[in-house]
Amino acid sequence: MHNCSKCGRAASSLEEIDAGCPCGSKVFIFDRQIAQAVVAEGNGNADGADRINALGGRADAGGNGGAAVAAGNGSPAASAGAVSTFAVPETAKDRAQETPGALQEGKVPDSYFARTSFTNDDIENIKVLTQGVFLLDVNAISKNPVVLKDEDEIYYVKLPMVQKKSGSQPPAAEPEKEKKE
Amino acid sequence: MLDWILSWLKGLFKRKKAVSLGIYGSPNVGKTTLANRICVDLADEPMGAVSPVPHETRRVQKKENMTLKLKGFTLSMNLLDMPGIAVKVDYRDFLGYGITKEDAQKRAREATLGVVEAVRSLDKIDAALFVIDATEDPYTQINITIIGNIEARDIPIVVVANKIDLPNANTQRIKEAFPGYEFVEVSAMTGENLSRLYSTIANKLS
Repeated sequence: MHNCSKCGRAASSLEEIDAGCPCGSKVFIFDRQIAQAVVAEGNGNADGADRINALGGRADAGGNGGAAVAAGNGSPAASAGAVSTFAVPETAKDRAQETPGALQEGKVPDSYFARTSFTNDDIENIKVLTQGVFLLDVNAISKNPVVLKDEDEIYYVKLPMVQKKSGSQPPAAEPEKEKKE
Repeated sequence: MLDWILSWLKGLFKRKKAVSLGIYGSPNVGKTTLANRICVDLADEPMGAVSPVPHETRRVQKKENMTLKLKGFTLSMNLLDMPGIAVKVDYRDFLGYGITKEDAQKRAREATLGVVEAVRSLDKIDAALFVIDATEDPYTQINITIIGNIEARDIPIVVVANKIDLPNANTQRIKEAFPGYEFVEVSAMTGENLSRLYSTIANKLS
């Protein structure tokens, strides 16, 4: 669930996050408790649905540790989690493979969780969920080169910038005497 | 005098430790062919499989404690054959080699992991051979970025122009692209000029 940081209103669609809240704010806060409940429900945990209801929301996607970023029209609309109350548009491939309307009926397909979360087996640290929507593994990005996996399962690697060996000391300044020579 | 003795002792201890020599470069430039040639020359056994399909080497291959002996110079070294470094790994590039889509996607995943491993290994090597295909344009983002990274880490580097046995090889443009580096042109396939590479390694690391 993504709530407007200003008025607290829950975003009802991806487009609303793109365009901003009617109150004028473009910042939405992610509710992690509901996200965890959705993940639990997706894993077959019966408590999940009860927890979602208790928390007062219905979420359609799950994640664990990622950060979903919605980017559209150059606006910085963003959230700090991987779960939302809206259905992220599916790729053409998924539309063909999965039951139409499954998300609307409250059933979250397994492939949806695979796409909207990171596991230990993932080598990418950025996923393109759909055009303009990214999932970031912030921990992994801080340790490894940036690896992006797009909707077509093609990998892109950003090679690191030139940097000194970690832990190495900066070169000592030349002695005054040598400079004069 | 004391400084001289300390320096001599330091050098002695340094030589006892095996030097880790990493072989870097883009996919399909002949890194594993070169690694195999070096391993056969120094240890009588090859290192890994070679293939025309890009990203055949997808994990860092290591051959330890090989000894390079050259005119009174002895160097103990661990040779690390790195996966080819690429900025884009597209499974569709493998489909033309008769690989199924599922296997191609698996290969792409492993190849990407290999790129990450190779980049992370920059912190573990003592010296590097950077291999460039002499039949290709050397002005690529990968060549410039990785050589820059190695240079910035103060790691000794030898630029190796490979595939000089091919008719369209042009080593001059590699020299022009990366001036100031130790430069050797070889054919890992035929073994041409490998002795020159060994003496360059010896000079660089002695």
